[in-house]
Formats: sequence, structure tokens, C-alpha cells
Amino acid sequence: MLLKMDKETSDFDKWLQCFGLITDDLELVPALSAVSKFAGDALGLNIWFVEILGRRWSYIAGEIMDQPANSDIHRISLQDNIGVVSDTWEILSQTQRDKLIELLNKLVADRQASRCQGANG
Amino acid sequence: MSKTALKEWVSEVIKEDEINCYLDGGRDFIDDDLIKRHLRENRNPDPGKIRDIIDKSLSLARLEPHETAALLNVEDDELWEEMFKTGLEIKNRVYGPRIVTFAPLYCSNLCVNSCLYCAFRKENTEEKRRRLTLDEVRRETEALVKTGHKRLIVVYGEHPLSDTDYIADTIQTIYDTKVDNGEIRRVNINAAPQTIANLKRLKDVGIGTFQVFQETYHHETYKKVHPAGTIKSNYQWRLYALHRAQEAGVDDIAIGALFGLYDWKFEVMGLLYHAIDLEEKFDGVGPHTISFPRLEPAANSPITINSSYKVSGRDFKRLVTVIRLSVPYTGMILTAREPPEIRRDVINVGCTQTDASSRIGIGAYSETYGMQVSERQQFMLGDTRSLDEVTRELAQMGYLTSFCTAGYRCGRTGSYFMNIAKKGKVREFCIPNAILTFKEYLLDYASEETRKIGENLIEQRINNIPKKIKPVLLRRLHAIENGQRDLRF
Repeated sequence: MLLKMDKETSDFDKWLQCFGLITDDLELVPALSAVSKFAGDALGLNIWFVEILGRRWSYIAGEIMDQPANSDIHRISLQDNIGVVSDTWEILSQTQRDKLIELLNKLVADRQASRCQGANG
Repeated sequence: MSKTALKEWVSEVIKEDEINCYLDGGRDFIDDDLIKRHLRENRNPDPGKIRDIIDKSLSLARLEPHETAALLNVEDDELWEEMFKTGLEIKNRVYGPRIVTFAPLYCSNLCVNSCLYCAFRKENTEEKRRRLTLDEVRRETEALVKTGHKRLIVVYGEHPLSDTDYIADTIQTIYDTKVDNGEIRRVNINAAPQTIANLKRLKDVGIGTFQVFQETYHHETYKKVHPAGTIKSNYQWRLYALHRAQEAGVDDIAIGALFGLYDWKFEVMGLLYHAIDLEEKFDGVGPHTISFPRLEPAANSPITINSSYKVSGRDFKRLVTVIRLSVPYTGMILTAREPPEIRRDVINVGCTQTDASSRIGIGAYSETYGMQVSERQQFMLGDTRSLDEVTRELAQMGYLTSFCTAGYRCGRTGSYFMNIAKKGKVREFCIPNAILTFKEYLLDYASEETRKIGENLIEQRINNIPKKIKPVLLRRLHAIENGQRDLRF
């Protein structure tokens, strides 16, 4: 069990390194697409991204699931009306979920900030 | 509002640059001569060729104009029977044996236009004009929620008093209204074409699908039935309404034509070209739904009685079938304009959505006046049966009534939806979600008789659910029996 946990932790940490590979000049949608692709390939974690518009969660990026999963759909609000949806969220531990959300929020914030700077410039 | 202020408002609605950016060499995508040529050149099609086209439709590929023209020209009854069956087969492959149900909610019949076929036109002085207050919108919504509805199509005339601000306020009011377990979970709208800036505002309040019907794709007829000087007389402003919606990020869009203004075969071709142009310009995303209302009698609108292009029941079934075969991925809406016997028949050639317990008078759900009053509505309905009756009949026909709004609340919209619909995978979600939402309806709103029939159908449909998700579905059904609501895949 311990070994399994270690492996999971290791896979997750390796996957987190992908965030470092996403260059700052990559805009929000391609950046989120890359995160989603890495998550599916490396962890089997299905995530896709949306713009939250009241009740509407409108697709903007990420891998497309063409089969329902046998677990609940989780919807997590990030900042700036961006949301992440997952049908395999339970494969992550709470610590991993918190870390992922922190990094996604940063990724969104960095891009929104650079967009504002661009607009001002 | 003064006449001058009204005139000024009208003059400022259309933004030419939001038309011109979509034109190709100054022309729109409806080439009347080309459509007529396709129809002419594909007369008397060879049965072998028709069967090849049917096979292509069954592979869920969208047809090309010459192929659709060939289908429209079929005369042989046996071939039509094959096409009817294929329509249902395609629908079942993409969406499964379920029918999504909704209700229309008319918020205002104030209108600045003069469309000859519509009772809302400004010259019709016998129409009793009214715009619902937000409190009245809430009362109408409560009345609908109490019947079990979860989705609405909200309709507005084109007028400064029912402008984008009013539309946004009414949508918000509808979403905020709750009665016990019930609420409206998806608000689609049918409104006049908007600018991109205004569409972004509607997007921000969370509209479901934005629906604009071209009425007729035939340029000359369009000009005849929409008198010059009105906003609606601008064919291209309307034609590109949904391109602008896509541009604004409203990614579920709905097209339609009013059948009976011009040759029905031409209109089907127009709808196909509309779908193709949307696909080409927006990364494969075509119409979420296609509607095919037939011209119905409207107060003080003689054209609705006298039109030489009125569509017979036989041709109506044929045109619905050809649309199904031509654009296999799209949802198709059969409305209560049609009488029950037509709905019973035509739903079986591949329709995916229908309305029930419909009232189209302003304030008609919560007020006590008679079921249909011509001076208060746009046209006369053919089917005013209750949601319970329609749901029961659909169940007897083997259809799950679906109140599902899952896709739009977990990001399966726009290109996501198109991707799975075009692959015939959306049914994997539609069927279990239909079962869950139908179960909710049966427990909360259905009559004893409907509940019994509905529960039997659910039992049958559960047997066909893939093993992987069946245990989860059963757990969720159990949770619904224990009072949980709004569960979904």
C-alpha cells in the first residue's frame, strides 16, 4: 500500500512538473488544453475547462470524454469565472486536489494579468 | 415612448460591419440559383443512389447539398418508408430513445416589425400588447415549475421595451425562481438578432441556446413578407445572427425556417447551407437544434391562410425526414403548433425535442383567461395537452421524456457537444440522464397512471444501460427515491 502511494505521489509530482513546461507566452485556452492532455496521459485524470456564466458552464478547453464515468462529476470554480470539471476527481487525494487547484488558479491569474498588462500597454 | 425615439432606436439596431465581416465577396451563403440548380439537376434520382445517400446518413456524416436535393426529389413511397425508418435509426444512434421536453414562455408581444405572417406585427391593432413585469415573469415561471418543467424557450418581440437589458433581467428572474424541488435549469431564448456586444451580455447571464429562425431563406420571398424599412427586412442581419452569437461565445445556437412562406424543398436546402456555413466558420460547430414550424393561422394575417406554399401533412413528414438525414448530429424540435396526430407520427422520423402544456399568450400560464386567445398570441397552437398527457403518450411509444440539462451545466457545450454528437456518443450520456430526470418527474409531478407507465419504461431502459455505469445509475435512482434531486452523468 505504501509503495502504491509512493508511486501515485511520484506520478502526480512528475505531472505537476508539466506546469513548468507551459511557457508564459502560451495563452489561456492552449495552456489549459495542455494541462488537460497531460492529466489524462500521465494520471488517467479526466479534466476539462469551462467559463462559468451563471448556471451555464461553457466548454473552453480540454480533453473530450465520450463515455460517462462511473463516478460523480465534480465542478470546481477557479478564479475569474473559469471552472474545471472532472469525472475522475476521486483518484486524487485531498492534498493533490488542493495543489492542483492552487496551480490552476495561478495559471489563470498569470494569463489574465498579462492580458491586462497587454491591454494597458 | 415617442414615435421619434422609437424610430431612432430602430435606426441604431443594425451594425453593418457585423454583417459585412461574414460575407464572401459581398455575397451571403444562400445562392438562390445554385439551390434551384441542385433541385433541378437531382430530379428523378436513381434508387441505388438514394440508398447510398441513406447509408452515408447512417454513418452520421452530414450530407452535401446535391445529396439532400436528391432526397428531396424522391417520389417512390417505398423509398420514403426506408427514409422514415432511417430517420428514427439515426436519431436513436445519436441520442437514444428519449425526447427532451420544454415549454415556451412568451414575455412580450410588443414589436417594431411588420412581418405579414405574424400577429405581433405593429400594424395589427387588434393585438392586446403587453410586456410582462419581472414579478409576472416570476409567477409564470412558478406556474411552469409546478407542472414539472425544467427547460424553457423564452420568446420576445423586437422592441426597445424588450431589449437586451429586459431579456437579461427576465432570464435572471427565471433562474432565481424556485418552488419546492422544482426550478428551471436551462433557459433558451428566441429573440431578435443582436449585436455581438449585446450577445456577450446574454452569454454572461447564462442563456442556454440562442434561437433565431430565418423564416424563409428565399431572398425575394423574404423581401415580400418583411416590408422595407423595418429591422427585420434586412435579410443578412438575420442570416448572420447566429454567426455573431458564436463570435460572442454563445456556442449553442439554433436555426429554423417557417415552412409555408416558400417552396419547402428550397427551405430545407437553406437550412442545410446554414448548417454548413456555421460548421465551416466555427471549427465544425453547427446548429445545436433545427426547428421546422409550419405556418399557422394568425390573427389578421391573411397570408397564413392564403399562402400557396402551405405544406401538407405528407410533405411535412418528408421535410422533417430529409433534415434528419442531412444533418444527423443536430437536435430537431417538433412543436405544439402541430396537432397531436401529426406529432405522434412525425416524432418517429427522428425528432429529439418537443414542447408540452404550451401556452403562448402573454401571461397565459398564471392567469385565468381561456386556453387560447388569438388577440394575445402570435398564432394558434395545434396541441394544448398537458405535460402529464404528453409524457404518458411518449412513454407508451417507448420514449423516455428527458428533462436533462446536464450538458450545459458541466461544460459539454459547443465544440464538446458537437464532437460527441457527431460520433454518436452523446446517447451514452442522454439515456442515463433521461432516466434520472424522468424518475424525478414521475415522483414529483406525474399522475398515478403516468407514473406506472413511466416506471415500467424506466425498468426496460435500465436493462440496456452499459454494465460499467449501471450500478451507479441504480444508486442514483435510489437516491432520487430518497429525496435527492438534480443527479446526473
